[in-house]
Order: sequence, then C-alpha cells, then structure tokens
Amino acid sequence: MAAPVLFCGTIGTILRLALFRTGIPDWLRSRKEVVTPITSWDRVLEGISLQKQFISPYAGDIFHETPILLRLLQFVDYVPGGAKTVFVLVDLLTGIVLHRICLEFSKHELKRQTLEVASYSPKAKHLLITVRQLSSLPFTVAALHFFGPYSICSCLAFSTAVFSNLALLCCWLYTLQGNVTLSCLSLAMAAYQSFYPAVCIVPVAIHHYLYNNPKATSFTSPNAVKSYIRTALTFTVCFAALLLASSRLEGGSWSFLRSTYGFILSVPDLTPNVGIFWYFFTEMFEHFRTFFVCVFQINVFIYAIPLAVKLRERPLFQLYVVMAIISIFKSYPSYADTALYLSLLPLWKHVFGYLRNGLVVTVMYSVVAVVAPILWHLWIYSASANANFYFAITLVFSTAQIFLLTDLMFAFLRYEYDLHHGIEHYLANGKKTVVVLQ
Amino acid sequence: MGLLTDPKQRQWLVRSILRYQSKLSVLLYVGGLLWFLALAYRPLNAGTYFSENALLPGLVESNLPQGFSSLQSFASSLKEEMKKDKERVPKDWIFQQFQDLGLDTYRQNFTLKYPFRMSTYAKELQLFRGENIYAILRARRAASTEALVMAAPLRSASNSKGRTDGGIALMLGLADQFRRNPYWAKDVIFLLSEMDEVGVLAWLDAYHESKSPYVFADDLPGRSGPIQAAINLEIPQDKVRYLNLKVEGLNGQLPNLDLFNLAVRLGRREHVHGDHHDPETWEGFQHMLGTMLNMMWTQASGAPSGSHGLFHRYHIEALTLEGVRLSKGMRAYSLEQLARVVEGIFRSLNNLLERFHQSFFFYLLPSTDRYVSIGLYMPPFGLMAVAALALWIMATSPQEPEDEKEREEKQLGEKETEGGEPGKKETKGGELGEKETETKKKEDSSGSGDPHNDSHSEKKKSLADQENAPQDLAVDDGDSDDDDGLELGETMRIFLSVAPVVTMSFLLGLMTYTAPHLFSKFEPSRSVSVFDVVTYGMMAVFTASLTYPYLLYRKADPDSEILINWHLLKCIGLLVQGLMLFAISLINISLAFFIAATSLPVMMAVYATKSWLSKGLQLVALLIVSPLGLLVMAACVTVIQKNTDDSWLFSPLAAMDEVKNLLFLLLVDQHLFASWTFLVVSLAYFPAWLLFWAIPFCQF
Repeated sequence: MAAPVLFCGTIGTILRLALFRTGIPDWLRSRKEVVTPITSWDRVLEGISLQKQFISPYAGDIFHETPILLRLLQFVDYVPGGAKTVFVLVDLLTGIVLHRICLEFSKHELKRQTLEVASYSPKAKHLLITVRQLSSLPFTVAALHFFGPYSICSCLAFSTAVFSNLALLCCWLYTLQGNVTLSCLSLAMAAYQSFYPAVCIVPVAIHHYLYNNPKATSFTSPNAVKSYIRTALTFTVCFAALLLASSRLEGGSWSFLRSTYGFILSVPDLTPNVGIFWYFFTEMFEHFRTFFVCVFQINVFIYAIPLAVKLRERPLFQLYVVMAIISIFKSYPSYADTALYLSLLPLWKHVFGYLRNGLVVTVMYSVVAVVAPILWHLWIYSASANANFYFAITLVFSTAQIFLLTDLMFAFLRYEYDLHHGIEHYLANGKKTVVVLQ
Repeated sequence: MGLLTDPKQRQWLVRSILRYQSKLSVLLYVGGLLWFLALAYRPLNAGTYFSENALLPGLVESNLPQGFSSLQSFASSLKEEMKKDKERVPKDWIFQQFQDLGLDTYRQNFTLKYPFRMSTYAKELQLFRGENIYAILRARRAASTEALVMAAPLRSASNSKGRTDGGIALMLGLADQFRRNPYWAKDVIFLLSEMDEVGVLAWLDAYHESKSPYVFADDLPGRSGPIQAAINLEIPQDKVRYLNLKVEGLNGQLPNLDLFNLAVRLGRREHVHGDHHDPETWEGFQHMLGTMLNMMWTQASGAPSGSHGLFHRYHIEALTLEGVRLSKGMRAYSLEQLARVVEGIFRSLNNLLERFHQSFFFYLLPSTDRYVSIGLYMPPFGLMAVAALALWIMATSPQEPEDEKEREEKQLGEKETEGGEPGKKETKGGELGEKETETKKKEDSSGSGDPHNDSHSEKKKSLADQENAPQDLAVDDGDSDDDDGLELGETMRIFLSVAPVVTMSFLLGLMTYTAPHLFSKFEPSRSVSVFDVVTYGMMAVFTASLTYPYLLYRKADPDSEILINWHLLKCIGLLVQGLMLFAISLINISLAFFIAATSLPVMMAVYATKSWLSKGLQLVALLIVSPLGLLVMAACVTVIQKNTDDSWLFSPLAAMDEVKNLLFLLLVDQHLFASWTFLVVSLAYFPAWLLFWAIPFCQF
C-alpha cells in the first residue's frame, strides 16, 4: 500500500480510538441522523441478550438485525476491546477494500479508454484520463474514508450499517475484477443485510456482460440476455441460500422476515431520521398508508430502469448512481449511507471540472450537519421548536444529496459528450458556442 | 434548476455579483443592521395578544380580602425575624409558618461543589451547603397530576443582590388565601431556595431525578405532578416603584410569550404599569429600542437573569417578577397590589388545559405590549450576516481552485484578485469592469443571431434524452468551469495548503475550551487567587494562539510553491462564520446579532497585503473583534451601565475587574448550569476568528 494511504489509515485509526475515549460516541449513539432502528447498536445488545435467554429476538418489536449477523455479533464479547475493536477493524477493512477498488478502477478505466480512444474526438485529447491523474485516487479516497466525518460518526456510533457497506464495497471490488460468483455473493450479503442493495444487480449484471464482451454493441442480444440471467441467477441463489441458512439458524422459523425486510418495507417505526418517510407517514391518514408506502418504496427501485437504459455503456457509474439513490430514498437512511457514496465520489474525479454546484452542495451538507442536532434539541428538549423545524432540515439534506447526484450525472454526461465531440464547439459558420443542458 | 445547470445564467449572476460585490456587501450589512434596529419602531413590530384562550386572563375577580390583613402581619413578623440576624434567613420560622398553614412542608439539603479549587489545604472549602424549603398546597379537585410553582430566593437582609422578603411574605399570605379556596385544579408548590439559582437547580434536579456534576441534591421527601409553569418572585417589602419582568433563561431560552402577556395583562389590571412613552415619536422609538437592546444584552450572555431560567431546562415556562426598589420616584406599589397580580396569574394558570404550546417561543420585546417574532427578525439578520458573507464567497469561489498565474494567462478580462479587497479595489474594480463589458459586447455582437445548426443539435440530442432539449447556443466567453481535470492536482494542492491553518485553528479552539479546566487544577497559592490563575491563564492561551501564523510560515521553504491561498482561506473562514452565526441565531438570536454586528465588517474587509500600515490596521481591527476584545467591550458596557447614576467617569481598573468577573461567570455557568456560551465562543467563534487572523500574514 502506498505510503500516503497507510498514513491516512494509521491516523484515521488513532483518531477513532482517541475519540472513543471522549463522550462523543455516547452522544452519537442517540443521534437520529447517525443511528436508525435498524442499525442501532443498543438494539443489537438487546437482541443478543434475548438470544442468550432463549427468547426469539424477533418476537418483539425491538430487534431488526438479520439472524446471521446476530450470531456473528455475539462473538464481540470475546474480542479484546469489545465492539470498539470490531468497528475500528471493520472501518480499517473498508479502507483496504476501498484502496483496492481504486486500483482496480484505475486499471479498468484505462483499459476501457484505450479500447474506445479511437472513437473520441481528436480535440478532446487533454480530457483523457491519465495515469498521473489516477495516481492520487487511492489517497483521496482513503482520506475521505478515514477523515470523513460521516464515516467516523458511523464507526463511533457502532452503526451496524458499516457491515452492509463493507459487503457492498466488496461487491464493487469483485465486480471490477469480473468475478461473477464473488460479486453476486457479496451483493447478496449486502442485500441480505439491508435489502435495498438488491437493485444494484442491474448495473452489476450489465458490467459482467461488458467485462466479458468488451466489444459488445447490442445490449439485448441473446448472448447478453443469457449473461444477465446467469448473473441474476447466481445472485438469487446466493440470496436464497443466505435466507435458508438464517431460517435454519432460527430453528426453521421464518419470523425474522417480518422483523427485518417487513420492517424495512412497511416502515412501521416513524422515529425521525434524515429521510423523507417519517414526516410524511406521520401526517398520513391511515387508510392511504399502504398505497403511499408502495409508491415511496417503488421510488427507490424504479430509477434503476431508466438508468440502465441511459447509462448502459457505463455500468460502474450506473452502480454508483443507484447506490446514491438508495441512500436518499430508503426508508431508514442514516449518515452511514452517505458515508458510503461520499467515499467513492473521487472515482469520478475526471468529471469534477464540469460540476457546477459544488459550493452550494458543500454548504448544504455542512448546514445540515451543524443545524440538525440544534433543531433536534430545540424540538425535543427545549420544546420551543417543533417537528417542522427538524423536517425542514432533513428536507435540506435530501435536496443536497439530490443536487449532488444530478450535478454529478450532468457532469458525467457532459464529459462523455465532450470526449466524443471535442471541448470546443463550433456552429456551422465557425462561431464558438457553449453547450447548455436545459 | 435553470440557475443551477445553465452556465450562462450563472455566469451572468457571478459577473454582476463580482462587479458590485463590495458595495452590495456593505449595503446588505448596513441595510440589515438598520432594519434590525428599526424593528423596535412601532409600525414594524406587532402587538402582543393571547394565543392560548384557556388562560382566560382577568376573567375571575380577586378573592383576596380588602386590606389583606394576614399579608400585612406576615410581612411585619418576617421583618422582625430578619432583623434578629442580618446574616441569616429565618428558615425555621418560615418553615413553621407554612406548616402552621396546614401545607405539606419539606426541607431539602443540597451541596454545591465549586468547580474551581479555592484553596490548597481545605478541600471542604470547595463545598457549600444549602437548604431549600418547599410547601405543597394539594389541589382539592385533582390527584396531584399537575403543578404550578411559586418560587422566591431566600436572601438574608445583608445580601447584596437585593431583598426578597416581600416576596416571601407574599407567598405566605397567598398560601393562606389559596388553601381556603375550592377551585384549585393544580397543586401549587411554594419553593424557597437558598443560593438563588443553585438552590432551584438542586430542587429541580431532585424533582426530575436527574443529576448534575457539581450540585448534589438530596432526594425530595414529597412531590407533585409535572410542573406546568413557575413564577419567581424577587420582591422587597416596600418602595417598589415598578415591576421588572425578567424572561431570559439559560442559553437565551425564553418562556412562552403567553406567560409574559399574562403577567403584563394582570399587572395592568391592578394598575401596575410599565412606564409610558409615546411610541410614535422619536423619543418613544429610542425608548423602545433601548428596551429591546437591553433585553438582547441580557439574553446574549446566555446566563439566566433569575432563578426562573433554570426551569426552562425542564420545559417549564417560567419568569421572574422583580420589584425594583427606588427611594424616590413614582407612587410605590403596595404588597397587596402585587399580591393581587400574582393571585391573578396563578388563577389563570390554573385554567390551563394543556402545556403552553401556542404563541411564540422566539421573540424580542421592545416594550411590554409589543413583540418582534422570529419571522420578523430573521430576514434582517439573514441579510446582515449570511447574505453579506454569501456574496463574498460566491464572488470568489468559481475561480478559487485555479492557480493565480494560470488564471492571469488565461482570462485577462475576468479577474477577481482585486475583487475581494474592499479597501482599495474601488478604482481597479471599475476599470476591470469596463474592460469586461467591452469584451463581452464584442463577443455578443459576433455571436448574436446564429441559427441552430441541424447536425449540431442532433449530436447534442445524443448527449442525453432530455425533454426536447432546446440547446441554447451561446457565446463562449471563457467559462472557467469548463476546465479539464488536469488542474485538479493543483486544486488539491491549494486545498491542502489551507488544511494546516484550518486544523490548527480548530485545535487551538479545542485547547481554549479545555484550558480553564486544566488551569483550575494548579495549586492556588496564597498570593494568587484562582480567579487570577484562570483569567491570566486564558489570556496567555489567547496570546499564544496569536502567534500561530508564524509557526506555519517559518517551517515552509520560501521557494516551495506551497503558498497559502488567502482567498480560499477567507472563503472557508466566512463559511465557518456564517454557519456559526446561523446556528447560534436559532438558539440565541441576541448573541448571534451582537457577534455579527461587531465582527462582520472587519472579517469582510480583511485581505492579504504587503503594506505594513494596512496590515497593522487590520490586525488592530481584528484584535478588537477577537473573543477577548469582545469580552473587554462587554465589560466596558457593563461598567458604564452600572455607573449611569454616579458619573460617566470610566475606570480601566473597574473594567479589568469586570473582565475577570465576566470570564469567571461564563465558566461557572458552563460548569454549574451547562451554559453553552463559553463552548460557542471557544469552539466556534475563536477558531473562525483565528482563520481571519492568519489572512493578513499570508504572502502572495
């Protein structure tokens, strides 16, 4: 591993261990932006102790982790240092995976570029990705992961979302390596943990097809369809195997499904978080609830289809966008989801020149980070503000994420366009023009 | 989205902001400031009204007997008791009186551990013991599910804070009357606390079974239901010329406006008025402005202005009625009159069906019957603080990541280096602006009227399946956003060059935050008091922090390219400052206003310079708005306020003492009551200020 990355990893780990000695983790564990009912460590402890009493943790309404993770987390007590060690190690492991993703991604992008460079405009020479540019990528990603406030918060708060994040990043790694089985397995694990990542199978399947047929032009040929089905089947088998294993662990009972995926999909817990569900469904008349739950949940999945059509030649970017969409629209989002896609953001460094709302988005993110706890305090403790104040700030957060995403997509498309048409655009009469997206 | 995606519109916006940036900033700041102050003008604020109809203020007639002889006898015997020992409060006598009235009367002991070590030898000296007395009048119509609190501090005759014996006598008299009446639906708790706020804190902690680190309270032997409202009485026995309604609580929290209205309305019914000025005249406006600023001044400190402030912590609406004792003046109010006011307030509160939730929690008061709500004061504040900052950032940010030399080569017309220097850029900015318009005109004429080219638009359609994508073909006039990725390494280097400054200033903030705690651990010797240790220690920390720009520069090789981009540094500083002001304004608008009003002009004007004179001037200006400078200013204002009666003579020694005093109050409040002011100043304002402090030192 390169020295700067190692440096980031060391300092990041020391920083986390140092922060564990302060009062911050306890505070973070009660923050609704960082911890959701699904990822709360307190609930995991509850589940473990119920398990030890031979009471099914899924009989109540507290525990929403999956059975396999519950079994694994039971061993936390035997680890020296307890949960702190485990979560710091998971963060370290995530960092390593991220590092390898960067290396693989650089290799992959350069390979793709050499293949396609013939079709690019000669005037777009300096737009091409260079090795020098890519060399700083691992460092940037590592710095974002190890010093990013969002990932530090999730680690300190023992948010169990870090496990599904790790699985999803493994999926990235194996997808980049073209390993169908392992990528499907890790995606199945991510989906098993938090369900929504299942939708990532679309870009993953397209990527595997492109990986094996780099010269492919048709995306609907029988060959392609066969490849998609193979990937999808592998994923389904892995996912089913995980579910069956869980059921066996639970003694043949399927009750965990209701507590985990049922809980994610039907959204019974309306504790405020940074998402869009809680306020809306608090205000909702009860008999419209089912309908709107369906609408809101479809919202998470539906974007995969237009993206699959539009970005079919760039499945990795598509995977990234799908991931970001999940973290915006999922039923119980938290900063851990934000941390996931923010740490991968530098992968698209080559299009940053086209970003337009960088400042606006940065300011919005920082305003939310600072003001959300204050409004929470004013609402819950001082009772001088009310739910609308807090909802306003969660709306700002959603808007910021959407701004970032649309801006990134715009920049990406614009970059691709310029690659093929050159950076300077001329009208028929030889005048310079500017391309505007409206 | 047009503004966010369309480079042309954005460019137009940025360019126009660029050109008028400094004038606009000044205009916004001054405009916002004047608008904010003008809110005290009658037509610009609103009249108070009752939101909560359940209060039914003044609907009931007073039940108190004419003459109210029991009150008079309580008052005179209390006076006798107080005379016996000037240093002590007749607690036993008061306890006995409440018990004789047939109320459930209890005592509660508590111990205050002073957060700072007072002496080397006796650790016990740090501990202070106190006792609260409280009596509960059980409501006949309810099962102790709700309660109201009438509180008064126990102060001995020699107490410097003013006497409260009138309030205590009033409580006894009212307790005697209240217990005879059948209409009580809520328990009334009569609370007498020693050590003012500390006693109330101990009692509230015990009542809600919570704990604070420095006040150890015994458990309460008797209790009632959730407390809905509390009235704190600080009333002397005689010569009460007017009533002072104190609302400002811990961290600038205010009680519900309805409670305030209630006190005002019932006071007026008993002809207990505030003073009258014609609000439409200039004198009237001055008076209202004075009242508003006075209230804001108290609120800004974040310290509670009376014992009521601690009730707010537990979501209990509370205020203090302070009788102001003047030897001469208007007709004095009798205790009986005041008793009727308090009786009226409690009978209205008794009507309350739910907790206070209507009306306002965020307001400023220019007079007793006018208020400025959050919706009215936020726009001018936003204009003044956030808008002015945002302008500067917007004007610089699109070009900020580029290296200056490259920029010069590339776009001669579009320069912003001078744009950020409000001091001397008037002329230069004008020239550049003209140049800019000229080039733009040329390009405009050459590019106008070009028809869409089919082949082009076809290609562009392949860009995205945008809805009918009417591709605007515009003239390329050097859109700096369209740079390729090659300069990103450059960007990162510039960002990295600023990172040490930012990290350093926040670490220094952290150091300042933890310093008092460390200093207090030093062994205080006989010659130096703990006050001095902490005060001078803090000043030492502050002075040491000032040298940090030198630490950063000496190490850097003069030939290396890592020069700190002061534009970026200023951008970050303004962002932090704006964010901080916005966050504070949500909790304590007054603190945010005073910080913004003083610091912003300096912060917006700071720039890197080679001239020694302007550098020196900037540093002096920055020192004035530094946390220490603001503290000194606050101390001066306090000293002047105290001196109004005697003379306008101003003594620096008194100010120095006041600085120590204020700093210490901040720290004690932080430890005892969890006040946030010190935290905000040391962890938010100080680091932000340090960022600006580095700017004049920047080489460019």
